[in-house]
Amino acid sequence: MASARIQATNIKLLSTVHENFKQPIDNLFNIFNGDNPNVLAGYNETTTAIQQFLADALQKKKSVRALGGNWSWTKVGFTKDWMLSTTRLNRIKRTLPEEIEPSFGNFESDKLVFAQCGSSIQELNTVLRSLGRSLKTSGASNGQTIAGLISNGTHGSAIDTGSSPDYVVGLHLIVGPNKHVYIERASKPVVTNVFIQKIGAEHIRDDSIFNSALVSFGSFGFIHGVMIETDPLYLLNVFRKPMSGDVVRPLMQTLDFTNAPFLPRPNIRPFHFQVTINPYDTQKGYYVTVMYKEKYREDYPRIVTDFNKAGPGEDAPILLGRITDLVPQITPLIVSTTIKSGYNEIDNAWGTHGEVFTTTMLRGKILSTAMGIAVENTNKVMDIASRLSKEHSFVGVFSCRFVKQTFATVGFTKFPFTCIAEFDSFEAQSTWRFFNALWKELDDAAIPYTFHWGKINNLDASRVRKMYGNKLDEWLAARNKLIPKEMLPIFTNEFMVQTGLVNGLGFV
Amino acid sequence: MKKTKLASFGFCILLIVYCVPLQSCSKYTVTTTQKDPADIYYKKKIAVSYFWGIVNKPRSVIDTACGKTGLSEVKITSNIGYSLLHVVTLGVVHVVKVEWKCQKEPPVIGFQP
Repeated sequence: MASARIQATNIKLLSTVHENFKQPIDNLFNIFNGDNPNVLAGYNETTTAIQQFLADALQKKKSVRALGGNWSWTKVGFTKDWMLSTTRLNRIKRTLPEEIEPSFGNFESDKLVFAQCGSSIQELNTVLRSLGRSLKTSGASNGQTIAGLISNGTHGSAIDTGSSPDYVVGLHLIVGPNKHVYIERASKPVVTNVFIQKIGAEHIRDDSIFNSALVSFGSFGFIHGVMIETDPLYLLNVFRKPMSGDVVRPLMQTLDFTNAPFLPRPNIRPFHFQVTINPYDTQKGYYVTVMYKEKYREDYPRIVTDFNKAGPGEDAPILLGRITDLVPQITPLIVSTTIKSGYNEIDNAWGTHGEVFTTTMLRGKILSTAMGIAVENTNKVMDIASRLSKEHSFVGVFSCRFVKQTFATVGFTKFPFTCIAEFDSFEAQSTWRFFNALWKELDDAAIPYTFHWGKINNLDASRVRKMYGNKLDEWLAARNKLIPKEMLPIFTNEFMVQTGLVNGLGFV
Repeated sequence: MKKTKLASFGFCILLIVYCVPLQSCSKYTVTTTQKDPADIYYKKKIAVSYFWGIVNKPRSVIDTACGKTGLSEVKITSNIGYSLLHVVTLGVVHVVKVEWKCQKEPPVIGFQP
């Protein structure tokens, strides 16, 4: 029988999925579960292997960062020392009635699922579907691991559901060679001692520590397991069509759907609401996607994808970036063509969550920045962005997605309702000019905003302080309380030092 | 007229010189709708075919680590250097870069213990 093991790859240079930077590292390690068929017995063997790994790191003074799907654009999840790839850690434990506190409510089969950190969203979608369950929300694609997804506060656009950390109800964290903890809220306890004994962890019930650990980019220890709350399997009824800004903009500013007769289901608040904007088409450049949540049924028409259609090649982004840098006059044409091919109209399509938010085949050097802004500032920000896009020949589209406020202490969707204003483009000089100008104008206009931790940003310590205020102190205090002092440098990376997310310096 | 033509030609050359050298000529990926890679980096091999396919080096690109779960994706890349070599040698030497990732093993799911 094979045991859990960790293997060095001797990879010294690591890039992200989007290839937007290369980070020199001391080593990349792959971690494997053993083949113990008992879900938790095998899981516990891996806990021991990770603890041994942390002991080695402590002895050799190497900082450690767990890596999920490697989806982020920033160095928030990177360290120059030891990177630990977790994608193979994909055990999924179904919960039993005796493992769940009666105060949580009547036991519902598979309402709570304990997923090992490397379980991908695709795997969870598949497994949960077979159990008649579904994720409440996720990002637009499914390549992230569950731990990576929540650690950056990944969001969808399920307005009243929130972001991915908001359906997490427990975290199993390995914080040192001799300490691993299961944390959950004191105000909403979920698991009993039966479950805790099975994973052999110390049980901590503390709202502040739990909410702080939710979005912590690997800095609160090694997230080994995540207890998530799921929904009964549901269908999404999907529509997308281009509309005029005149009718859409009031919705973007208020999320008040009571006077929206032009939507597929007039005046009904959708489950998902998203607007993608072509800044070069002021007539019908607002591509509105709405989804309505419905009870699952078997006889729905399946989404059929045409894989034979021509589309952009992997080098298209960088090539188009260079061409438009050279000939900015063709930018509107490029953007309009891209948006027309990528945002086709959808009329009355149906699918499960996993079928709608499916595998992305998009590749190449794409750049993306995303800012959280209060929903009432949405149009103000879009107007600024629209003006700047023309000034800087920005070769990209704007996107607005909306979620309610997160519980995570430094979650970037912090406003009562947050518009995630996203600006996607190619690697080009014009893109950087546009990003820098946009960030500066928002500062000058005193519009409060946050940055998506995993997307391009210009964060530094003063900006982080300005964005999170006292919440940052709460987050720092929780981290210091949870992690043994000698382990703090192990879980500290360069990004954290640069952005003031540490009280003291690590090994960096 | 001649001047305009010359300027257009010069611009095209400039565009090609600016855009092409750093880019691949072609990159194509084979994958599945269930793509879920275990690897976060591509494993790479330069594959060369000699004498119009009579000899391949390596004979086949074999991965020894993926095991029974197989490959998640395979990427084939050519670039302007490889293409030039192909043309200059009249097809005697044909080079491509092959990259791949292993697929994850399916998850172990259950209630135990």
